[in-house]
Amino acid sequence: MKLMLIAYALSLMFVLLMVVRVWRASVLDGVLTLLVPFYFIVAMIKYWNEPDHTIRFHVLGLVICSGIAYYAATNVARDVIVGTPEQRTAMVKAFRDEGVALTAEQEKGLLSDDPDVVMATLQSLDMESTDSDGNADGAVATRPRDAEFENPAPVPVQERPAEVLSYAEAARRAVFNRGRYTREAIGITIDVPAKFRLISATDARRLDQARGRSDDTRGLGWIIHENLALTDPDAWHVGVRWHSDGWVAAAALDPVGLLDSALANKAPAPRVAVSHSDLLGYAVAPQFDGQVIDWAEERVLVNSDEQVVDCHALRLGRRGVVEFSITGMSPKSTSLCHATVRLLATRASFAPGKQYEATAPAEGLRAPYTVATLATHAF
Amino acid sequence: MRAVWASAVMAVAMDAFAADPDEAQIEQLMNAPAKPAAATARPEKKGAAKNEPDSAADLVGQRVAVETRQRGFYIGTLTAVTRETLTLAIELPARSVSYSLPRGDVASVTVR
Repeated sequence: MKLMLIAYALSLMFVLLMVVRVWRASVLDGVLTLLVPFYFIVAMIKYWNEPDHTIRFHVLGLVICSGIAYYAATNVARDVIVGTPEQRTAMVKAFRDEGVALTAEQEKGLLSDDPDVVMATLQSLDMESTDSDGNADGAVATRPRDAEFENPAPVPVQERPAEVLSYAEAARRAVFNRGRYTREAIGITIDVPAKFRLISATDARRLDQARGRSDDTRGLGWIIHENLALTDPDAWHVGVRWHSDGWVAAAALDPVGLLDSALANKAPAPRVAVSHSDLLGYAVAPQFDGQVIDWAEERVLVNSDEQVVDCHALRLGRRGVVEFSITGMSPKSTSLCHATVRLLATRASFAPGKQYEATAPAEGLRAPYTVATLATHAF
Repeated sequence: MRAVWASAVMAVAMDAFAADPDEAQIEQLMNAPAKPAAATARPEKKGAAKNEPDSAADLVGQRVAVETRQRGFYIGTLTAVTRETLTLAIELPARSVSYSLPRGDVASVTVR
């Protein structure tokens, strides 16, 4: 290592002396010798016969010093690769741990005191490794080189721990948005009323997770009144959801007929968000104005006599439906519940070309339900 | 002090005037204490109830559809009729529930 550094230092010194001598003869040649690689050969030939400016001995010294530096650097690299006897003993142990089967000769070669023998053994191991990777038929390929890949048992994967927040912390982190909310991919804009705030789908999902609820893949966010504290788990909110099921066919809405169908359906499959409850009746019967369908359901919680109200207002689009729902509200607040979802649905609008039309579009997806069956939870 | 109160009232009035009617309705409902539907319903005329026969009483035991004044609909078997309430037995997927509707809230009762 020292030899290499000394040789490099001497080389540098010869270069500087060379430049100084040439500079005295010609500034241009000096600069070119300094900056252009191998220009010193031109200068050496040019000033070969000028005793005050010749640099042939400097070039000779430079070549000798460079050779010494190269030799020293090669030895240093070999010393690094070969390492100390302790390092080589550890390397043999590491090979065994990784499942590399070493022969007695290879092990002896690795632990030899002769660096050349160690290098040769390492090179042979490297060649065998290359051969086993490229040619499975080779003799070396039969060796279990990597225990992990040969192991038929599944290897346990360390999963990233999911971030679990308390509801209070999730509520504290939530960002309240006001004004217009636009979802370009769907082509919908919601003009959030002045007294309401919108919470993004990410924050809403975090709040649901904090309450142990399943992930709502259709969720676009929550809308909450400014007077309500999000930190209160019992505070009501409007869930905004997107159903990308396609164009929905309109149908006549006979409230009694719809309720009869809904009550007769003993295995309802609601598309809209509902509380864990059974339908009692329509607190507000379904109505459809050509763009928005809205209704409120009075329900009784499963395994309980507590009655709740679920309110829904859905704005139809060409490619799907955006839903505004409040679930589990007290029946005493039915008017507030229904008026809120209805207001939000009327404040939602689709971009031109994505608006709902009564006639079915010539192409595109069609929903497997109608406006009427949305309110009966039958599909 | 009066000036402060007057300014506050003016500000609230201006805010309500500027707001959308639907938004104003929601604000009104938010600020009003929650009341049961019966309290908001139109009270029945006592005199009329005394003099006129109760047509709903004849429907006891039948399956009926009840429409409320708030555009609500309920279907079930009419089990009891009083001056204050109509009681329906509503069949749920796993059980039967007795559900009472305030008479003042009922708009119509029809047989199904």
